[in-house]
Amino acid sequence: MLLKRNFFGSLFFLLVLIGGLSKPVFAHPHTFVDAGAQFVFSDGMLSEVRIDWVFDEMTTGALLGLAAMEGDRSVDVAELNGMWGQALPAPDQLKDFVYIETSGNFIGIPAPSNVRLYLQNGQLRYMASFYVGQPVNAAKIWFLDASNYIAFTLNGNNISCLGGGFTIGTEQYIEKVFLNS
Amino acid sequence: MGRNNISKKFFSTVKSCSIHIRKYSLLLCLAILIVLAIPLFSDSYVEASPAAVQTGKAQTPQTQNWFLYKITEAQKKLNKEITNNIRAVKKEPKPAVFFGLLGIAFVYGALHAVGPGHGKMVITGWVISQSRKFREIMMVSVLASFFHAFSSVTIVLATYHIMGKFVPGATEKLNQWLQLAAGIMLAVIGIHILWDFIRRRKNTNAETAVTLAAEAQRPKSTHPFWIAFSIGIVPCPLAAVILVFCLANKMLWQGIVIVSVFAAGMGASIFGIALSVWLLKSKAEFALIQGKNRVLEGLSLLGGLFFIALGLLIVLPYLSGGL
Repeated sequence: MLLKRNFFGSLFFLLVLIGGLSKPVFAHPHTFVDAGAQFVFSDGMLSEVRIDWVFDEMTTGALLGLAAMEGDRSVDVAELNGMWGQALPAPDQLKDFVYIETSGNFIGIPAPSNVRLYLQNGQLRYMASFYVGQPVNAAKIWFLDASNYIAFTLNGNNISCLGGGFTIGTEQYIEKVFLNS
Repeated sequence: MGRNNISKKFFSTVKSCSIHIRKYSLLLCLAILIVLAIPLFSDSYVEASPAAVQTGKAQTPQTQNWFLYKITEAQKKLNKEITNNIRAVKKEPKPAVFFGLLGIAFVYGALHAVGPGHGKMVITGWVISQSRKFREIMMVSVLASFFHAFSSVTIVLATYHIMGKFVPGATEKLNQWLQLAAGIMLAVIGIHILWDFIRRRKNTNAETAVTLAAEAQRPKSTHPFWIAFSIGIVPCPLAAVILVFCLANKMLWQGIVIVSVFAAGMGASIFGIALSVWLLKSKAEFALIQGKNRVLEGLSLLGGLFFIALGLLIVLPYLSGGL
């Protein structure tokens, strides 16, 4: 009986300790993105990363309202003024969601160019290009929202590499593209 | 008379359920440990910012563990399911289809609340530091979830009424203010608990510590409503997205019902966790042979400090970085 009492008492205080040591985690995914990308190698350099993100229908519908139901078309960046935020990053924020790691270091991501948006099958498609221009033999690339508002899933059918090879894997529970030139 | 009988029957059913639940309290305890230990094994999401890691030797930022990874995957599937079902209801407004949708909404809410956030730490801290009854735990869990979901509903409907559409940029700014308010509220609750602790210590002398019943001395300073309100004042973005999606499909009342059921699912998860903590604490109180009152007072002090720290954790970034 005493052992049982002490066991529960100890378990309780262990619980308090764990709860007290837990780090705060504030967010959880509300938007889900199927992430596609194309990587372009040229003369041993990773010259360009082209992203092709497809947002879930619920987020698309919430952002574009009835317009999301009206058929496929291109979407003007200006049309989305007032919509940029956690669910839909503005073009100048896109680089914060792209990670390129090579030889244990991150490559700086420049501002994107050639930003285009489309509505396809009720889903918003967000495309942009990043001109990296760095010599790379092997690299890991992934997409991540630091606030965890957006959850990215790599779409293997929409990933390609020009001038190099790639595989898709998971590292520390994050889906990554492993590139080699 | 009839209503009294119904509520008496309801509470006696709930009480008998809690007796059965006590039998399985060890399993519940293990469940709590798993849920609360999850953040311990996840780095803070803030550390994943590329600006923070690009200054030198980088470490791959780890932002999830197996449990969170699986929760995210499951939520993605449920998100797709709920979207398809909303469209199905719009196309074929039959009760069976609608109730199927509500079932998915409930499960989605329950799973969503198991993930990080939703005030689980706040409720846990409150349950540990205060002596509360079963129905108060239930009330806080349910109220917190409904406030959390319906603060979103209120903002969405107000935005639609004023601007004719959903404007995430504007509502996110409002959310930041509400988050700041929640942080201030938590800090005030913590100060109140701490003040209560100091007041009790001043009023207690050697005689009363021995002679007064332990029940009368138990810390019980913060009304459950304020706990629920401090959690629920921050709107749930997902509830907003679900409602806006329904509004875009011209399904207003259905959207409100779906969000209500989604909130009920969140409430069920939060209640499950709060109940587990409460049961475990009851067991531990029983297990303490000596110094029980001192331990309970100590927990009350820790609880006050915990709420102040949590409130500051939320408020300080706004003070330094601005809104």
